[in-house]
Amino acid sequence: MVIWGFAFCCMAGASGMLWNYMGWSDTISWNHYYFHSVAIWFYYSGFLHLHLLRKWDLKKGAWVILGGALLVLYFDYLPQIGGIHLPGVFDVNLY
Amino acid sequence: MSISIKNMWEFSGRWDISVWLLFGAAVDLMIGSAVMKQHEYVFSSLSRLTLQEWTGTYGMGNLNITWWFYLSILLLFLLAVNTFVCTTNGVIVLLKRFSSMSKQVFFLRFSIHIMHISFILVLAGHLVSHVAGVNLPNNILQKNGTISVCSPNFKVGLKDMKIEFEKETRFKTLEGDVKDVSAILSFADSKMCVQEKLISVNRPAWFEGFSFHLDDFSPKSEGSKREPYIKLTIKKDPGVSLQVAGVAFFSIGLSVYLFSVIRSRFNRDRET
Repeated sequence: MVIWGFAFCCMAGASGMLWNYMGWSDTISWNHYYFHSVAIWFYYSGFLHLHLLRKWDLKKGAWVILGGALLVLYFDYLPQIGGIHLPGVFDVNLY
Repeated sequence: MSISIKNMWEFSGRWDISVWLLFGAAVDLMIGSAVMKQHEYVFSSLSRLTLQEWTGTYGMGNLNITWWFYLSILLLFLLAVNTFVCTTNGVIVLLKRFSSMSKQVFFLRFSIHIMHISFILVLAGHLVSHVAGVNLPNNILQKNGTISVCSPNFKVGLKDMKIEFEKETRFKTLEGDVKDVSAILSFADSKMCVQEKLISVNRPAWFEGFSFHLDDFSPKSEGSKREPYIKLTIKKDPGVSLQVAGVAFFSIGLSVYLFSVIRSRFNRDRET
């Protein structure tokens, strides 16, 4: 499952590079959103290479995956949803 | 001397170093993205300047903000060396065992090395782009105007431009806004050879190794009395071909790997 998610992440990165080059003449977008995505890409690349270390097993790897999910939630999802606003009840900016 | 080179080679190719470098790069880039959010003006100029120009101005002058960026360059360089050594060792072993393994297993393992080499190509492409690229932003062109690019003999002119506005749309707030914009550029080189090319948003033109990108334009609303113009970003990027090759090979390697995974799972399910 992680391999498929990583594959789609790679496709998204490649198409983003192409889009940025066509529009702004640079394959890198020099803002914090781009570096969030690249950091998460490296995180999951690290997870996919964990099996090379003998002392790592699936149980420990599951904790790494959970950490990755929290990073994706914080860096990629929360900035997009902004805040939760219920007038008179609840008004919180999540990012 | 030969023993120490062999030791260095073996040390560079260690798998635990790969894992540490990958997670190290991830942590450094996460910290960097948080720093970047507070100081975007320091890094946004990297789209216009080469790495050495940026280092001489923003980079070294704001080390308390940019330290993570230089650390990431170091980590990525070490990762590229580690990947190269691991891949070389892996390919040598794989070729030695070629006759004793099935084609499916060979392609599965070889596809991983293709992805690793592609990763190095993409990193090299980024470095070449930001060290050797020529970037000429903010080139304003009005109709029938011309500008010179790098030499007096290489000229680019705006022959015609067309702005299409929203009309009779369901979204009333968009009426009068720009729907599409395109321009016809005429290029003349030192041999007085003239070519015309169409550019639009996300549709650049290429000529003599330079790419011409439509960055901005005017007017942006119907009925505006502003003089029409376009703003071009002109760039010569020697690294983009390396990056495209890297992405293409990475896609091939990833496709072969995923196909092999699916096929082996299908065969395993069929046997059970």
